[in-house]
Amino acid sequence: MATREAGKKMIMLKSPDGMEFEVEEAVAMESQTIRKMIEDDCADTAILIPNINSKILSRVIEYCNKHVPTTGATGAAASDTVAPAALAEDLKIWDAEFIKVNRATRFDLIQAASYLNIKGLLDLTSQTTIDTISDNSLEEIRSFLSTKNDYLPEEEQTIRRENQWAFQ
Amino acid sequence: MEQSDGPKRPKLADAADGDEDRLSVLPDDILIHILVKLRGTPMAARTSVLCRRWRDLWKLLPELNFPLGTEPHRIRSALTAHEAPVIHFLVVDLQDAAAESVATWVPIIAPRLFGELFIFNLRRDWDGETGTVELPCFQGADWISLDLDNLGLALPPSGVFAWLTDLCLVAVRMRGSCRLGDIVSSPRCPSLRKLILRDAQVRADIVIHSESLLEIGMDNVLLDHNALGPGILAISSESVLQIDLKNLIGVRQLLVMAPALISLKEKDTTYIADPVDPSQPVANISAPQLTLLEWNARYDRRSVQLGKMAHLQWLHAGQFLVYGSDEDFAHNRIRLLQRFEFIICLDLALYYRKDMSDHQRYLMEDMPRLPYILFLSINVAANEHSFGASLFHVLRLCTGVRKLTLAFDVSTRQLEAQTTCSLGCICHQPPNWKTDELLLSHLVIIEISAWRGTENEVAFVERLLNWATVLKEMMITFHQSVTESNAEDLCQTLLSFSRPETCMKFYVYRGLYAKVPYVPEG
Repeated sequence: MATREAGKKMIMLKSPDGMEFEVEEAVAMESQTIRKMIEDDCADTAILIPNINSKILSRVIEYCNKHVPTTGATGAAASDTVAPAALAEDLKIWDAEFIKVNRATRFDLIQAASYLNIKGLLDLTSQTTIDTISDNSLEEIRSFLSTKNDYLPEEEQTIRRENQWAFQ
Repeated sequence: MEQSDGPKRPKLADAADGDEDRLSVLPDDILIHILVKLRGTPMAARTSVLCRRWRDLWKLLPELNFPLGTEPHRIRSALTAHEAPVIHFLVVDLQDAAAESVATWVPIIAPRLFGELFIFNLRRDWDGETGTVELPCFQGADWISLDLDNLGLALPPSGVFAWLTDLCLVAVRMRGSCRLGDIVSSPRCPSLRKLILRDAQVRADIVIHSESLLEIGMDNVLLDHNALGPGILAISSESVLQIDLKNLIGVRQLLVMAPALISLKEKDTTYIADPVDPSQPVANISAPQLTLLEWNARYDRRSVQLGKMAHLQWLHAGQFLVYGSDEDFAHNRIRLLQRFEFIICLDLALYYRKDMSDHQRYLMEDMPRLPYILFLSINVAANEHSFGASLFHVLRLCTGVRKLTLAFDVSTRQLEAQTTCSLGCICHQPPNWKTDELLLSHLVIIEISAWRGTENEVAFVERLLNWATVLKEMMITFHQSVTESNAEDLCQTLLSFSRPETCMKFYVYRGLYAKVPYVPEG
């Protein structure tokens, strides 16, 4: 495992399209999936992240970099001078900018957050999706999600009847 | 049949880049995570018609939220169809709900709720019959909050709320055979930490025996002693740390046995004397570890028994009438103050009635001594009278004070009228504060708020700055009615009294809430 910068452990993440990303262990461990691999000692060499291409993986690392709790020598100094509320506010603004992506990228990020088990990123991406669809009709949601209606017409009627309370 | 979903939102702009359904391939738990974020369970359930993948997902939601106005029969249908064995969170926002209708769905949820329950009711129809909500036992709930807009509430006569840590009952009329005290006491609520009761009507005594409670708050609670009991509020708890009682109506006896209690606040409570034996004490408090006491009710040794409080550090002693004929009330306050030798922080309010007549007496003279105080905070409601005499009296009794906080209590009526009392008003007596010397040789900080620079205020502060010989810092916050252009003159006046070694800081209000520093130009 690579080491750099005064005892900070580095981890190599590899995307399936062959790109390699060297990140601090603390940043990588924002992902519960990677944390488990590291804790189970499965991370001696580079970790291959299947299904997440380099473009998305680099965004995910960007997110984790921003959200990793600031501890240690430089981090402690930063949090001494900035109030926690201000930090949280700053993160919120940063998140809002970060998630300004097109629909396909957002779905990629949901998938990545889901596979890598990064709760904050999953919350952010799913909340954004929900905000987009929640005031629209089912037909609009279906088209937004590219969901194919695979019910027979009479089946759909049955479902509607079963859940009639929700459509009143 | 499908709901029109209210006013149309902007179209989903970034749709149609590829035909693949990217969301539906995600595992159930991720989709449920997303569904939980949808505004309300009805909307989540509507996704069942998207496609087969989504059909039963909503039934696994661990959190349910029925938005304002969801009819009880719809809630019942939803809860009947819902399949998750454990619900962590249920919010129900009712509107004009008949109490009985709650009974159609609450029992369905009770065995499955392992988490938080919130039920709100909004009543627009105030003439309708109120009825009584019968609460079943929630054995797994850890938080229950009910705000029923004055519906009746009957507690379950049996069952243990084993995990309940927080119980908040607002706008309820307690009915039924089970007494509130019996529910919240340890046998049936062994984990309860916090109890809040607000805007409530209780028909029986409240008798609490708890080994787990940490905090009890009651505000605007009517103990309706005509019905069942004599109006007793009794708290006996080894664990409780904080008790706040405010606006309790119809209390015949307040009994507190709380060996660990740190903070007790009692405000605006109406005690009713026992009709059979009026000599019965109305309050009996045993709280030997108490460090903060706010006591606004009468205090005399016969009717109020406060046990030993050797650790008391903060005392809010309530309002002291400066001139009046109600000597008994003034003496109550004085007796409370005189119980203590040393108090770190004393809060006191000096109150002048607007209309004073010559037959009223100067009651301050009955206050011969005060405890040794380090921080003194005085709220002055002078009603445009001269308050120099009373403040001088108080300060003369506590010359060891390190910090003095003065807040002027100005009513809107005063601001509009801007009248001062006549020269012959008795508030000008005794006039010794204008001439007598006083040495406040420990006073290092003075904070004054709601300063308007009236003649009375200026006259007093000129004297105060003369007495405070080692003052390091004085902070003055002007009243909201003082504009920045008026502040300059007021600052210059104050600066002309102050010693050069005293740091003077000024603050003005911009609007009602924004307090900003003001730096005088001169």
